[in-house]
Amino acid sequence: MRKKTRQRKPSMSSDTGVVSRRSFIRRAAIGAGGTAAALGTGSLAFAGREEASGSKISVPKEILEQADAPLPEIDFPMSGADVFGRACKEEGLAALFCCPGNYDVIHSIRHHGIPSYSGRHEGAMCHAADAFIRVSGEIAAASGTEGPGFTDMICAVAAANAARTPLLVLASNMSIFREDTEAGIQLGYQQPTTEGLKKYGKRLVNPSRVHEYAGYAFRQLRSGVPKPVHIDFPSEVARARFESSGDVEYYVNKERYRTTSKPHPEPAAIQKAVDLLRHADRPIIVSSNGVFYSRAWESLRQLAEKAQIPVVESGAMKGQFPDDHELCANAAPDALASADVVVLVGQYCMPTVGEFAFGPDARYIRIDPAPEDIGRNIPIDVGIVSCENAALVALADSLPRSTRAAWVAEVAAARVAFQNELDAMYAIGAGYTDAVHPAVIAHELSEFLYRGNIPKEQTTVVSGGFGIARYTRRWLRAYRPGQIMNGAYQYGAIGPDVAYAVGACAAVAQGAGVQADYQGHPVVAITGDAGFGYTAMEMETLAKYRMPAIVIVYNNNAWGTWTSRRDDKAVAGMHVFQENLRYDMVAEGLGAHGEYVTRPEEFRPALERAYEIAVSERRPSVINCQAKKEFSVRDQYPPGFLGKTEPGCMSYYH
Amino acid sequence: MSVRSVNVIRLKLQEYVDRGVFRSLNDVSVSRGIYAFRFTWFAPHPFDLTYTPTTRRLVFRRLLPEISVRSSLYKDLRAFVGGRSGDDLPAHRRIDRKRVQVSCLPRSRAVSIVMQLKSGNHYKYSVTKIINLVHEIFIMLHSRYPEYLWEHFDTSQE
Repeated sequence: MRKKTRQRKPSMSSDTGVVSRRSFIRRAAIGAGGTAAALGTGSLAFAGREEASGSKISVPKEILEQADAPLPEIDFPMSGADVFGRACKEEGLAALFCCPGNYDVIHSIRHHGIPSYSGRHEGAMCHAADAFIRVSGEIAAASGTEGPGFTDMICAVAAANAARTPLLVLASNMSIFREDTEAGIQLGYQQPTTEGLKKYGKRLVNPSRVHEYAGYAFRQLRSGVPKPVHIDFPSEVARARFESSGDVEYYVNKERYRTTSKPHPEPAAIQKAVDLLRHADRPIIVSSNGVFYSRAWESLRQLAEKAQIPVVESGAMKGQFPDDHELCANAAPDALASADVVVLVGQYCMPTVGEFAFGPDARYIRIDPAPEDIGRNIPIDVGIVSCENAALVALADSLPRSTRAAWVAEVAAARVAFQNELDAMYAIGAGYTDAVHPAVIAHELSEFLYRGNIPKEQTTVVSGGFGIARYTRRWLRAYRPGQIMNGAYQYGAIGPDVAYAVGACAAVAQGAGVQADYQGHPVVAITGDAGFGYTAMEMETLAKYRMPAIVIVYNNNAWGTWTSRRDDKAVAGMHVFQENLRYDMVAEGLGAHGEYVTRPEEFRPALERAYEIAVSERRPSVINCQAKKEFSVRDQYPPGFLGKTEPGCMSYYH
Repeated sequence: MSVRSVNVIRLKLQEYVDRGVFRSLNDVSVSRGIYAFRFTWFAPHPFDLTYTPTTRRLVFRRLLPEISVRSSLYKDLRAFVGGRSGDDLPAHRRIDRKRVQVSCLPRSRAVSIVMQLKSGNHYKYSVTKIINLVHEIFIMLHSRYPEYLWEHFDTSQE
């Protein structure tokens, strides 16, 4: 029986539901039940365009009531959804992102006190959950209803799968009773749909095993190489009624169904690696997803500093090794081909030969918890099956203290050369005065984030977009784990960026995982005009939850694919939009702040205004940067369309 | 001398196969005094490397198709290849002009990479350097001319 605790009366300004500035600041939480954000001063009823029509965009009372609503005490008799919700709570599920649907499960998760957010599209919410995980290191869930709600999530599940994200995907799926009949609507076979896009999946069919299968899910999410887990709930399971724990099979603590023990490296394998590294002149470490999820950044740093081995990052997030460290090679692409021994640590998504810049004579040591993947794509010289942290500790313990002055100097020189290239690009870009060149956006954003008035490690960045990303990635830096989410990583979905901002903002607002020290700070998201179109409605979600995201939209009036099709008049029109579209006004219409920037010198002031609004009002912004598609034409507007070198700051394939 | 030099070259190429850098290497074929090696590396189609003992030339034949000599790509490519012998490069990256000379050879809208061996037994060195040079050319193209690789090497467009 659920015992309701006393409900506190919400503080609303009037019966209109418009929340007063004071009550909002005091009560608003980022996300229903999320940790109350450290809000600044501001107004919730948005001034400006909406006042002319006599109506105001306002946050409804339900949002604020939800933040402070008392939670029921849930105990037997319990539903199947409650048993699952309790398991999620016990496992430390950090957040839920959803649209209405799968009601029993999402309500139970929320009733268990797990911060829960609802948005405008299940796919966007699934992307948001992916982002939450990638910037926090904590597990989050996404949920959709049966049928279209579930299938809306497919792209996001695929992106999370490619990024090796431990994402819990939940969906309702009608009933076992009506299996195969097409009675009613929305019945479908979900599990085959996510085949190849997940680590584990199960349609629950036996109500009494619901807790057992929660164990299956979290065992997979919290071990080895992570990927999504997909559970679909027929109503017989979600609505099952258990009078006591005796009705539930394997109703045991998590310590009974999974272990936190990690695989440790064989001493012989470590010795082989040590031998190879001791004789190397120019070794380098590639730090990827596994270093993040095993929280191995301190061990990585100790190894790098002791043996004087430079570190370059790849993967779905950046920041495990700080960009301002003298051994960081993220922004030293020209040095990579000099490496003679490469240590791949937690590189879950392996490149093939030729995709990384290391030369054909480089030798490879690969550290990975999954032996079945070691040796795939790039043959190894030494394979180490291990938790990343344990292997890095073992290597640091076994390697002698070294000096590699010439190699470290070469990396430093490559960093300088790369920065000189960036400066030259900026100088060219700033010279185009009739629109905003991507080099201007990248440079000014970098100056603001890393050399302005805010601590350089403070702001979490969702690095997305297509054409714009080819510039911004070169300028973005990370100084702590979880600072950069590599949006398009591996799956290359162009469009989730606003949704990613929802997830990143939620993680930062909650201070989840590695965001603990940066709680409540604004988040910057970068996207293009094509990408904005996919998830722009989530600006409303950002505004609704008062998530202080600054969304930079590179508006060049075209898909990034226009460049190589522009001379074919029969198809070029398929790659463009109407010109000079006002994405800033779309944002304003959804409750966010909007800036329209048409000249290079306007970008920095607009960024500063948006940041101030993010801090003081907790309102999201869109900075609509008016560019032109011709900026991608190299001969007309050098440097034109750029590629990348991987690994390092530019990487997003692997 | 020619048999020995060809064997050295072949063994060096076979090392790349044995280490998994190349996916395969076919048997040596010889025609009009030119030894040809065909191997699969990082691209879907095979690479052709020839060696002519009489002229002491290693050539990656028609390595890069559809490049006009008037294009910025060709100018950048030629500068890049020439720069690989520059004194500003670290010794381990530099192509030693005293041992070999590299150049681009445009023919029929395709560019070959030519390595001219100077006197001495630099066969192993030359194979190592030309393989590394081709690798670096593609890294440069990935960075500066991704659309060229989309069009002609079937790399990802997204």
